[in-house]
Amino acid sequence: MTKGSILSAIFLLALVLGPGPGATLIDGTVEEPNIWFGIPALYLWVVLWFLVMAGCIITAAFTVWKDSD
Amino acid sequence: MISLLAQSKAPSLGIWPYLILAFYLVGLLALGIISLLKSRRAAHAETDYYLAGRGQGVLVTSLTIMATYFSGFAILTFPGWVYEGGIAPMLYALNLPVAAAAIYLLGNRIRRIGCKRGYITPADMITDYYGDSPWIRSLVALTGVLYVIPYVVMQVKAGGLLADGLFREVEHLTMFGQQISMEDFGVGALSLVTMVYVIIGGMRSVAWTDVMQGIILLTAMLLSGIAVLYALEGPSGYFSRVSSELSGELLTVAEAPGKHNAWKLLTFCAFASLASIIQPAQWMRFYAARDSATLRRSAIAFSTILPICFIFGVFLVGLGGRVLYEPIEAANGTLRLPNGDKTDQILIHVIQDYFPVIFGGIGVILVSLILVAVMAASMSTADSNLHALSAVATRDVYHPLRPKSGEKERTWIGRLVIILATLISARIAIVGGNSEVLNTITAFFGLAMAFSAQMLPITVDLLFFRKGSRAGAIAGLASGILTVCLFPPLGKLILGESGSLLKGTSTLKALFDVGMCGIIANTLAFVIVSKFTRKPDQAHREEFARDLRPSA
Repeated sequence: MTKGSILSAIFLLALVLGPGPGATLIDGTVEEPNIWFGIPALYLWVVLWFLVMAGCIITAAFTVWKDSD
Repeated sequence: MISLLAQSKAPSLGIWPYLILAFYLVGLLALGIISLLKSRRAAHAETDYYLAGRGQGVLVTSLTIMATYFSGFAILTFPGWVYEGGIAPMLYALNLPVAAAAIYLLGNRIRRIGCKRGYITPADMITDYYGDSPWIRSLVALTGVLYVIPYVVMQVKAGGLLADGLFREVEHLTMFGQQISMEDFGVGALSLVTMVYVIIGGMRSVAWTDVMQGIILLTAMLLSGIAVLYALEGPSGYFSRVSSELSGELLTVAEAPGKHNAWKLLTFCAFASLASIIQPAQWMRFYAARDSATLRRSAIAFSTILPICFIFGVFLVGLGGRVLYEPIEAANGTLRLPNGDKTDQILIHVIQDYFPVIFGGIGVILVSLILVAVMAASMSTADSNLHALSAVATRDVYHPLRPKSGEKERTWIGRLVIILATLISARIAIVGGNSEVLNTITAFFGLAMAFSAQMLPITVDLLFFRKGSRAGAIAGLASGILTVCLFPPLGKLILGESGSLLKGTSTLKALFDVGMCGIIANTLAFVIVSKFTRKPDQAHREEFARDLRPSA
């Protein structure tokens, strides 16, 4: 697998897990919402997947996308 | 102390709003004049007016894309959603990295072929590949106009409301013997200033003012996050109170079909992001970028700076605001701030109550600066859309009707379009009130991104696959636009308040992004009709593919 396809796969996974049904797996219940390290788990989830997606773009921008014009 | 502060009346801003607003508006006009002087040396009037000579660097490109991407929606509506719905709406921020990836993956191909073939509008590229016909050019122009016009009207109106908030001590002004409310004065003044700098400087002026507006806006978004962290005694105090005082509904994702459910969030991030990044004003920014490196670096800036300003800025304001200000329920069941204001005013309340406490005397200046920044958000979206509307009207409507028109003539017609569009938008915003016209435009505004998303299937086809036909593109676009029209709020105007079709589209809207629903109908029609109709010649397709590739 090329680096481009690995980054694409991670990015798509982040898109599905981050805002999608993945979020419902970690947020807890209405009666007992999950709190991790004193912070609502859902907020940490937003931050985590933002870092993953931005990381994919930065890595692609420096290693995969070519300025060939 | 905190509760006392929360209940206190916001301090008077004195003369600062006038000074900062005057400085800001003069700055905008100065940038317009400088860009006019620069463009006088241009060899190609039209390319210079609409694309700044295709030479915009990374700072201007990244900030103009960002400033065009977010409107008053970013700084008012999103914190309001978080105030009402808790953390789940924060997941919408993950649409930003998707848009950032598209800036390079779609935008760079659009830029490359646009530069080689001299395109100015999206329709130039699409008709060049599929073959020109009044149908396809009109549909592409219509898709753009359905996005652009509601945005211009709503941003002009929002500007007026903000002026009303900024000068809340002044009830009305008297001009030429007539009393004018501050809201109407704001609409008039902002429309006039925006119109003047767009007319005189074109894309260069719009982009340079976007840089100024973008910097003010991004700073304001982060500063407001700092204010709310301070108000709740630092990050640990903030999260401790959020975790302990807010109910479970605000800390979890709602089950479908509840508001901000996981499927809605996912499809919004995947499709609405792309819809916003291929709308006409952004598409023209890709043409205007200097080179590939510019868009690559813009993608990095967009994927990092903008989400940071949301996740660590305005979103924290919405969530912390819920701790600071206990909402009340209005008679119609909607949530309101304690003083009865709409929830999208939460950021304004937080900065007005806490900035003077945090920053002392300078806090009042910062409050005025942020209120001007909110105005900047509206203006930066309105100016880009006015400019794009002018390009679409002259290139896609006027030029085909008058093929012998020269570049200078078309540029002047474009300026005339800007004047007319601004006057009509201001007129609707001022006299509209709850009129039928404004209600209809509000309905279109609610679906603007979904209309823009209908460009996605043909854009992806001509950039990557080149399997579609002109008839397929027409069928796809028409199907997509018609599908979107069936969804509320527009569907209610077309189909009436009841009916099984409207019930079905309302259910779908609660579950998925409307643009995606349109794209499904669009893609099906595009693929099926393309299968049975004639595609562009093989030689033409190969030549197009060659121009999409980097030069040897």
